[in-house]
Amino acid sequence: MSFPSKARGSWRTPNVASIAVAVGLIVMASAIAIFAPQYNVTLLVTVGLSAVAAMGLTLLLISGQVSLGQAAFMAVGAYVSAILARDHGFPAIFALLVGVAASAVCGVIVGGITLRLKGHFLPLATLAMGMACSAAIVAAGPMTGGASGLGQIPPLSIGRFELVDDRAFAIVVWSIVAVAAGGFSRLLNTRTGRAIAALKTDIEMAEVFGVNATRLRLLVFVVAATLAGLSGGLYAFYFKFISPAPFGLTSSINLLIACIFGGMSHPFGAVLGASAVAGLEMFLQNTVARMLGLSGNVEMIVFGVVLIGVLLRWPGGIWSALHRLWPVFSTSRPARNIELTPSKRGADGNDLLSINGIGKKFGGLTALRDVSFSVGADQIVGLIGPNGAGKSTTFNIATGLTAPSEGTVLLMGAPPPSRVSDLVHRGVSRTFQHVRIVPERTVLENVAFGAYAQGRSGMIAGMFGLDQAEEAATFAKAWRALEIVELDGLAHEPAARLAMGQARLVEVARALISRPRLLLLDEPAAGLRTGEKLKLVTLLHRLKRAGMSVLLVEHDMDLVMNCVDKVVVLDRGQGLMTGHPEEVRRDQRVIAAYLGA
Amino acid sequence: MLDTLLFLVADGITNGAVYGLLALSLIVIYTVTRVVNIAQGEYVTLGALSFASALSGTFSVLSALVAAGLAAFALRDVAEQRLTGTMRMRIVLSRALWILIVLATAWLANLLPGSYWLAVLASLVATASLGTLIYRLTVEPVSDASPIVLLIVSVGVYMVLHGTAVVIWGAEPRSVPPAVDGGVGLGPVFVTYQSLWICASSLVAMIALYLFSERTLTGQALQATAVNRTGAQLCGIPVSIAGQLSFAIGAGFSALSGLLLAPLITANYDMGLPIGLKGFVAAALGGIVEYPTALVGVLLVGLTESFSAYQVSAYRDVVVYLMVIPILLWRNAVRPPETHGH
Repeated sequence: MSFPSKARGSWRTPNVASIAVAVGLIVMASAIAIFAPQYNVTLLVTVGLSAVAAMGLTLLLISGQVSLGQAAFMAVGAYVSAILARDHGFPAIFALLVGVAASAVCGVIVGGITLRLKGHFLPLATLAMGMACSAAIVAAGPMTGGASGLGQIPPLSIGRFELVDDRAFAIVVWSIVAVAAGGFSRLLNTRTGRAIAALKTDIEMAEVFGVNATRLRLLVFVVAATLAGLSGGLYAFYFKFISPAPFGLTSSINLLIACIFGGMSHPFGAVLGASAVAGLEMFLQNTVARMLGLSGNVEMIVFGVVLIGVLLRWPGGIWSALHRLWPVFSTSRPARNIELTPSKRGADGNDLLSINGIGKKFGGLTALRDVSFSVGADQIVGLIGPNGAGKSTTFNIATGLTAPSEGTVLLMGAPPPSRVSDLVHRGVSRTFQHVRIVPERTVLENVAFGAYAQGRSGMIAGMFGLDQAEEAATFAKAWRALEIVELDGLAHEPAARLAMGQARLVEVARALISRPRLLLLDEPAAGLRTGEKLKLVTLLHRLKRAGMSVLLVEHDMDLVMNCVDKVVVLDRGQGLMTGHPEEVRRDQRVIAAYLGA
Repeated sequence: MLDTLLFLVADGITNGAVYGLLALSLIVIYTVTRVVNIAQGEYVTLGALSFASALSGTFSVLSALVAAGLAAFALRDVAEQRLTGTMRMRIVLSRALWILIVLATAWLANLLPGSYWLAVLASLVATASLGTLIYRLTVEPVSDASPIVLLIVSVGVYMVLHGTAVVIWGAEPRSVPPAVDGGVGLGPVFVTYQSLWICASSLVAMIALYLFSERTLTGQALQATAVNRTGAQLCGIPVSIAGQLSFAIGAGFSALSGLLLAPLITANYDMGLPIGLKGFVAAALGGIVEYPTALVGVLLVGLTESFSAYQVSAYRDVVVYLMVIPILLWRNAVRPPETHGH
């Protein structure tokens, strides 16, 4: 067991660096706000406001979603705040809060409707929604001022204090940028952050470990909408004039460009991107346009080229260049040795999984007919059969992913839960036939994600560091799980660098940390070398001694025969036989099925 | 009351015919290359504006730009190491011919101002060729990327084309004369000849596309690529050519819809995006993959648009844009798009 090579002094962590950057942002912005000429202060506010909205979009991108309508939520925040403060006599700060709340509510509504959309349907839906929002603002002329806009918005005030000074306003805006950027940066390496990253990799995998994917995706969408609303509301109170133009499709696209240009894997990318876009815009307006005598449309062409160029040649954006300076996330190995025993939930003495006469028809095709078997306490059961025998279908029915056409399944004495995210609470965990780990996170973080269901700390706790005790416990368990699969030497490696066999063991460790009573392994030996297979056999025996039951779906006969207590043989959708490995090995029907004789 | 109703139906069908061309363009491009092309509406703009300038006897700058782009790619292809002498020769000759056609149509339209057919030809050749250039520049280098990345790239293309249209033609709208002035009374409704011309041309273009897909080997190859890219590649269908062809068809069809529509709404740099998006709404009904469902979609969009223009005129576009959300939800429930690449 080697000592982790990349463990550093504890001050050089992403958490400390996040705070440092946040403080640095406030100091830098304050310095510019106090000493720079007026024109630059306006620019500073503009950049800060688009950074706030872009940060929401980056969080959305990190969770694997894309919106082409982010500016529409800015419009909601801006128009609601402005109309309430101007025409209905609301105190400005109150109007701003209502405006932000309104965009959050719009986020809930739009998100609730559109988040079930898959793939490219979501960006299309948000695009249409953004266009509809712009058209609606113009159409609702009497209230919104239509295309010509709405002026004479009162200044932002709290009680008697009026925020009329541009320089003070800039500092307020950048304080918000700093808190949000630092908070989100910290969030990435916490329980909720790991779940958000898992959503991007694979929604079903995230659900297996207890993430309510619909709710978390909605939460991220609403946070993005809220930040956009805040940005829009502040915009209205700063410029005191709003029109549909700054909240149209072009703005939504510019926010997306800021995120992608700056780097879409980290919240600081949004700040970098918003600054870079503003800088580029200024350069084009002042220098190129004046020199060549061309109007503002060159800007659009250049931004388009930047967007295409970055995506084609430099998908990590500016952040990827700074990324190597950023400390690698690491936690040191805990001193005390903790035990990863299965939780004692579920039926004691009874079978953990019992399958009775299940069948499955896909249309006219009968995939499975009258299959019965059970997995008892402290048992390793192997499910084998040639290709197309119905192993995967059986596996999916056992976990409740597919409903059987006939027969019953009892998991811990009850029918499988209707939601995948409840499986882990039953004491069931699994690995996947095609490895599903988060490639850009470290091995340790991938394993730590497995403990999601045991934690409680949410987004706010993660952003502001209120989750430290829970995180320490999670990482202690993650270290222990890595020791069990003997991968602790690779704890701080990015998961993308692992060989296939190692990645499969990371999946096993991730399943272990959720402390299952029943572990379902879907072809764990595929892609493993002989030595690794022997290790896997040893590991399975060790888990069994610790009180865990295992259902093993596997092609490799030798591996199965070496470690299971019971073999279930499927052939062409039917149970061929169930028995002790020795009996199965001698059975003529099994030999015929495998050799095709 | 009946008159109004019939008028709205006629109006809706005319709009639907325009969106139909857009929807087919989007489907051809999406099925073959998996690009959800946000930039599609810009080909409408470019088609209409280059048609307008060809008709008024100005040499189209777009044709010159496209010719230059084609020449640049021709040079790159010829410089390819692994080619034999005859293959090089063939590339040089075919590209030279292609460039010649682009320039010659533009030049002839310039010589004979006011010639409707020459202007149509010049505009279509230029925009269809532009489509192939866009494919080679922005899709081919990342053809293995996820549909989401391809979609965002197409947003960048939208910005470039949109900006270019303003730089070349300015922000002033241009009025375009219709193919034939006047109209005809169909029962109680007066329908302009241009509307009939739009419907007829769309119909002919759609039938031509159908025949091309079903009856020619190239069309079959395109369909094969749409069904399975890797499989098509293994069968010896060059994916790059298939992609370029789909972009050429998509750009040409959209340009056609633009130059047909221009006499009714004047050609201007901002006309493309809303038309493109309405084409999307229609195409989305068929998941951007099914032609017949998309044609139902265009009628639905066209009629919704003309009826909501009558009922809640100011909110017409709001209604049409929001239509896409129930359509996508329905489609998502019936047959969701593939989320993992291929």
